[in-house]
Amino acid sequence: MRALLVLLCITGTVCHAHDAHGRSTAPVEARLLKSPFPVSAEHAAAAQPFYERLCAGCHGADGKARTPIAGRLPVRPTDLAGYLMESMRDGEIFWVVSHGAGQSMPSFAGQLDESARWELVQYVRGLRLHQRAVEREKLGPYDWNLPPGFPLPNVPPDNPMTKEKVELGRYLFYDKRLSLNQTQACATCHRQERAFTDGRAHGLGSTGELHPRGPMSLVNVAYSPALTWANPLMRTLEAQALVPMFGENPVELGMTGKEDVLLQRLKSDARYRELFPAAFPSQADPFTVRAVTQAIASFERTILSGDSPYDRYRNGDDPNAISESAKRGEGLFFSERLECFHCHGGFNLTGTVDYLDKGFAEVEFHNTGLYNLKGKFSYPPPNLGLYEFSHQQEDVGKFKAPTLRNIAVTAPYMHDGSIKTLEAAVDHYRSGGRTIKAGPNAGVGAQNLNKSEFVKGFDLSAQERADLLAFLRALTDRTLLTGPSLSDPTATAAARLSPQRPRYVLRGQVVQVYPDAGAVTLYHDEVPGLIPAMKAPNEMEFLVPDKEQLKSLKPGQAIVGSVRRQGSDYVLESLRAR
Amino acid sequence: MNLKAFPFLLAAFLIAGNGAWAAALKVAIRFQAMVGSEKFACGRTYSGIGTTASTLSPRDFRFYVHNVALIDDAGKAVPVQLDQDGKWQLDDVTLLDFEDASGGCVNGTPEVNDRIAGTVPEGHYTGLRFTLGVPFNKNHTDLTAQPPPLNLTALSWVWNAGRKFARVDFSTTGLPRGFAIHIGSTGCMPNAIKTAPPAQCSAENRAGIELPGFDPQTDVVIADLAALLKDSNIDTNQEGTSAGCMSSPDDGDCAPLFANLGLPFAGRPAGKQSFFRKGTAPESKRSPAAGN
Repeated sequence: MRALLVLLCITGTVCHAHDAHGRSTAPVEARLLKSPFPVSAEHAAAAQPFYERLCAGCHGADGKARTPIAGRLPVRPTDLAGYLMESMRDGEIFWVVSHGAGQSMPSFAGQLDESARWELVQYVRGLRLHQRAVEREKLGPYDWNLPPGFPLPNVPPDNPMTKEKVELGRYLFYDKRLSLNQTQACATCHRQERAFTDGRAHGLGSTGELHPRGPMSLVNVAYSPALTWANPLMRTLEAQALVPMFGENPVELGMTGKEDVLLQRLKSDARYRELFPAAFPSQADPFTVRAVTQAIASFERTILSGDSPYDRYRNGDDPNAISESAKRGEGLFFSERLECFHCHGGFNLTGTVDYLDKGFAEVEFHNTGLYNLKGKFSYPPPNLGLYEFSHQQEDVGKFKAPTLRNIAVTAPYMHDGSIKTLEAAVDHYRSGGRTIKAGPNAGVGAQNLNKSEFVKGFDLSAQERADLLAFLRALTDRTLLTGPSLSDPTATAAARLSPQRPRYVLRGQVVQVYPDAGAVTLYHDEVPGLIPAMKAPNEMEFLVPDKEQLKSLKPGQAIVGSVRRQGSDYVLESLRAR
Repeated sequence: MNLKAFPFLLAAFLIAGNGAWAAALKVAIRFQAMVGSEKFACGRTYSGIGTTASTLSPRDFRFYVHNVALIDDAGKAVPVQLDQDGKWQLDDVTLLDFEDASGGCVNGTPEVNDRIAGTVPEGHYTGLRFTLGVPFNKNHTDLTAQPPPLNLTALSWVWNAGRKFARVDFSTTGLPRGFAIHIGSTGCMPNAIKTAPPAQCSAENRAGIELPGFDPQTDVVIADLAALLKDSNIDTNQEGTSAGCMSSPDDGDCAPLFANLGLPFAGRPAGKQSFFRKGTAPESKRSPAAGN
């Protein structure tokens, strides 16, 4: 039997459950398949002989697919201990075991009955859980609460994550005393509701100086192997935090030479006199520049976005989380025709990511044909991209591809904000470069000698353009934009519920009231931009914080209220009968 | 072993282990910051500077040196063992600092340092050699984990993962917002290993300075801003570049400055420096610092 499987693997071409973009090859419906068994060591153990007989030949006893057979296959079998397995649902693993995947992962429906396949799913899950425990061991006990499918980030060994450092870092991130004139904090240019950008083409420093480039999003920055738009030397968030504080060209927070002033200000604050020692308990004097940068970096590593409608469609149980148009857009985005994914691929939809045990430090910079000036430089100084560091002409205009997560809320686009809308950004790539007809920046960007081979232009119908935009907009993660753990910790509860916060109105009918749980289930109409309609027989649960309001509700009653998302829950407020 | 002799043996051993016998000579190599014929001071203004005879108001004046050696009668360079004072000197590096945070020198420190202090073997010395800058192995280190004087944020060059070897900032008639001279290594690219410091810099910009005939007992090193700026137009700034010179090979404002520092620039070979020269100490004879 083992010989047969080996033969299958070799004569076929692929034993793989993920496509080239790290997405499962199982159909979306497979996610909804449910195991008949509860998770238990017994069920997993029952499958071990099957795994060793049928699977280990290609996938290895540890699941890492480092077997001699795996090495000979055209595409390496899925690493069953790898982080990508976390984005696969039990149903999908079951589907792949049952139906096979790609060209050489065979179907095992003939050898294993349905119960045995479900038990095998549990065994395979265990391989990843074991590996995750090994990784956690390396990174310490911090609970990352990572989105599904996200690997553990690399963290500098001298600054392990702790919740105390994260908390201190959050206060510092929002503290205007970090600027000399006390007018700006990190959060001034990195605003949560704009995915930690500020809507400006050029950052504006505390003394009124304009930055040559726009603030980059800090979303998923824990995975970035090099920081800012084009700095190959900037490898850690700890080092980067020094630039806005102490940099002078341009002046941002304006603290150059004023480290003593900064530390004195922090020391004089009673809250920091608790937070600093808590975060750095082994230090006699925890008030140091190093502690400030380490705490801010720790907080920044918690700015994680993986709960967009697209993620819920891909990783969740909701095949309808994104529109049909967005699904078509996804296909276009990942097509060789449009080439978008070459620079914006993977779990973070960006070119280069770093994470624990990745093994390589990749950093890519690309020229996207924004300019083609005549003269010494093809890009307008001072924004020469990687050239500013390498002094090599072929590096002029090369910048880092930002993550496309939350891209709809981070306009304007490009390093210099020279593209104002998402539509115009798509059109830029459609035409394979930008032509500027007149003025000091005149030139045909598409002909820039340094331009990336992937920016080659493509035809796109009006419908396809709308589909691609729908896909990009499905990457907006409301949890990130409004999540309380990333917000200003000093803002009062009242300010957090201020009227400018988007309010969603929900109309529905009470199905059942659960006074002890503080919840109610409803049938309800669509809440545009938040939740699709839910009609009988499917009911939806909402939390109702106001116990008095909850008590007054009766099954069958028609109600209207204000709804908001809170983590994975929905909260209903200001309820009244209608 | 005769126990009474032990402390003496120990002392002899320690001195020998330090590379210098009992006959070590304390030296203080004193610097004097000047603007032409006038002493440099924050809060003052100086006229007739550069090709446009501009007027200059100081904002900063500091630089690092290393590789300090005295030249003996045989023409041999004898390294000066620097005093490890926990502040201005670390291993082989000294920070010289002429600003005192007064006047327009707003990013500065009240403390100043005008000398390199250390020891050399007893002997007769007739010359001085040093390198302007921070050595490569110290330049690209994390400032938040370094002792003084490598931990100053005003001398860090964080975007370039290094340090400003020299920082000479001032405002002028034509550029009231400031003309900044930041000399440091550029063209630095990373090692393949992540978080490693830069593997190499195409323009290291460390100036080797030699002052023949320098006698540490009677002479001082004059660092003359007017001489540094004599071929520069400090009233204008090349468009699309930093205000002043931040060591970019594409910034024409750097060309005359690099020439006067004796540094190669944008493919042009190094010439003779004119920023530093030998001068006679105002209070000649033996400097009180010599024994300090």
